[in-house]
Amino acid sequence: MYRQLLECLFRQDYRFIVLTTGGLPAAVTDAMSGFWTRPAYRELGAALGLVPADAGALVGTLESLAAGQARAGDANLWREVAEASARLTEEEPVAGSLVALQALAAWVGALGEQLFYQPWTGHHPGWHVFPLVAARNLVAAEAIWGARFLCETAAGFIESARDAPLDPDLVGVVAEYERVRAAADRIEDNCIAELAWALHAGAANRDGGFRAELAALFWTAGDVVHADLLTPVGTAHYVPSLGLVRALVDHCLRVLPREPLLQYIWLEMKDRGPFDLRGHKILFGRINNRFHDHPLHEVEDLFPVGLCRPYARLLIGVMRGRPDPADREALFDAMAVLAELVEGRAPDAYLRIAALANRLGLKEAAATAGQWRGLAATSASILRWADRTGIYDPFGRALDIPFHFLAVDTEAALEAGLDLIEAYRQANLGYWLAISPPFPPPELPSALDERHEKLLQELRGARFIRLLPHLPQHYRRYGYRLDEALKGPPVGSRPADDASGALQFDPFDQNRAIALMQESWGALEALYAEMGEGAPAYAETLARPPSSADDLVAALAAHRPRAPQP
Amino acid sequence: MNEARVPLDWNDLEALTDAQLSALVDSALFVLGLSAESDAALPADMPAGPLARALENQGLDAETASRLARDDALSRPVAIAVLRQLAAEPALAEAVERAWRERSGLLVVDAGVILGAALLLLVLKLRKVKVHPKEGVEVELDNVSATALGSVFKFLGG
Repeated sequence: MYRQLLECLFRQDYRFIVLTTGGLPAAVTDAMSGFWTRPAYRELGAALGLVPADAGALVGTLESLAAGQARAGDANLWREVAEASARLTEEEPVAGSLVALQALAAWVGALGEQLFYQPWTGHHPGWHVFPLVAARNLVAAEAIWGARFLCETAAGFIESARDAPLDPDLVGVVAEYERVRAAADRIEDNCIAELAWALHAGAANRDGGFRAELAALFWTAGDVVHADLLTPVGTAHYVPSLGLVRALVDHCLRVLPREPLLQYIWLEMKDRGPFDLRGHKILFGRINNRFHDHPLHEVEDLFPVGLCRPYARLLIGVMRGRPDPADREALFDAMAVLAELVEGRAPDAYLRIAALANRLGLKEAAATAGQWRGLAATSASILRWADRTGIYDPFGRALDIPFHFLAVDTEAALEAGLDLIEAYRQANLGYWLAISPPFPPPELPSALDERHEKLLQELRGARFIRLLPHLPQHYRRYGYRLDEALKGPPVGSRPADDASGALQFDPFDQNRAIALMQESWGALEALYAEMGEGAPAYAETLARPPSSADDLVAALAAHRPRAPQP
Repeated sequence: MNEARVPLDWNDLEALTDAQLSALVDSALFVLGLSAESDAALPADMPAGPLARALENQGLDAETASRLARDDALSRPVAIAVLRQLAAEPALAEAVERAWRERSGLLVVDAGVILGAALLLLVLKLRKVKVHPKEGVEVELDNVSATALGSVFKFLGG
């Protein structure tokens, strides 16, 4: 936890980023020095060297405290320090935050591997003090990303305690964390409003403004209509409403870690007019952060060619009506190497890159139209893949892009388009339809029905494991049967983090859950085929997609008004 | 019962609840906004930063402008000070009160945020307000804006 917190602070929160890039300001070191030379804390400060000479020493001390390598003072003294840091924060917010982080680190180091220990008798009471004080101080220092991380981690952990919702003390502490998080949210809301205001104002300028960049953000978020309105072929004086721009900025900030294509469009706006993106300090720290959560981030880290920057530059050029051939070449060259990897691991990014390439209109019109149909089918297949593997990060409207370009100029094209739209609509219904089958017919052998039930249970279980990272922490409490644990870990399972337990594998291993889901789907399909021999209509209902254009035509035909009787 | 249906006493605006005062400020912004340039950004939509800059452009010093735009504790007294000056123009007061009463009949979920600084900015920006556009009744705002600014400075200690 502590390492993640420091990463978040020193990479995203501008007050802490400047400590490493510009050194510790005199006001901060003076305030810390004043604090640690108070009679009550002098000995502790001197023993651990808590007045840092520079940023390196500061981080080094925090890390050694959190690792339990540097120890001094007892729990009561550190608690006093934490509480006193709140008053220091009123005078110097960064110094107060750093002292609270030192107290937090000392507590983390003292607990060691017991930090996240949650026996039925309750967790360590320090969870109600140290992270809370640090989070409050961080909000006062406008370090909202670190504060939010602390609040989510601590409140999530406390909530997972036994009977937490019924314990007024725990409910009170969680509510206090929620208050701190809400304060961070309010700061973020204000920052988003200001950035949206600047972007909105900048979009009115057709020449030097950020009109093309705003269009590129809309496009990448899947809003082709508003993107097109901002292009030279769109409406001359069109500017989207402030509310729409604000919703877009809000969306971007929320999905930034898992949307590198959007992030790089923002990065193309830094260090040039019409407004200073760096001036939006609280948000810029996050916008400019190097995330590691998405396959495209791995590509950026591992390969000499990147995809995100050429994509952003080419798309902005297209939206400006002047795509640069060099950007096109850079993107196409990168895709020549990486297309397969991107298609397999980040299919929504692949779709948008392919859609951009198609939008360039480098091929004959008929071929381009065919490619849009192909991409629309790809959108449906991505949703189906997400449904079948338990991908819960929403794609938003990103997969809608090809549907804006489907031909409607002939009846046949319209019908084909409607089929694609219908396939897209039903693409992520597969799981829900599978787990709620119709009543089995009497002719179905009971052995097949029992196998069906068992396979559905396995599918539900594996999918629930996939859902766990998105659920509150208390869902991760679990028990197990000793006889099953003694059988040893299943083939292909990940070893448990805590090797001392009886359960030698990680029951929440995500890769194993994906493999189990795929196995279950495969087994279900084989079972449906087997059922087809004795109960073909039932098997057909289970195996076929829920609807098609043919079904719709048949349904409409069934309701055709009859000719009046003479 | 809708709170805004109580009689409005322009001489005792302090008696209004935050929600009532917020609704009255919104009504004043609505009436004044009808006379603003159609393509101009309305102060009610402005985040704190641009609002502070816009107040600076109207001649306020940077620190005062920033305090007015960002300090929530100031929004209520600023709103009362400005509304009191608007009430000095009977036609304007009548138009604002009418809008307030009409809006009180709407099912509006109001967050109760009092946009005092936004109202001040609009008063400072506008020279004339069309109170009855069809009848061509206009109110000059020069005096209103000067006295509103004066009373705001008074309680800010400026």
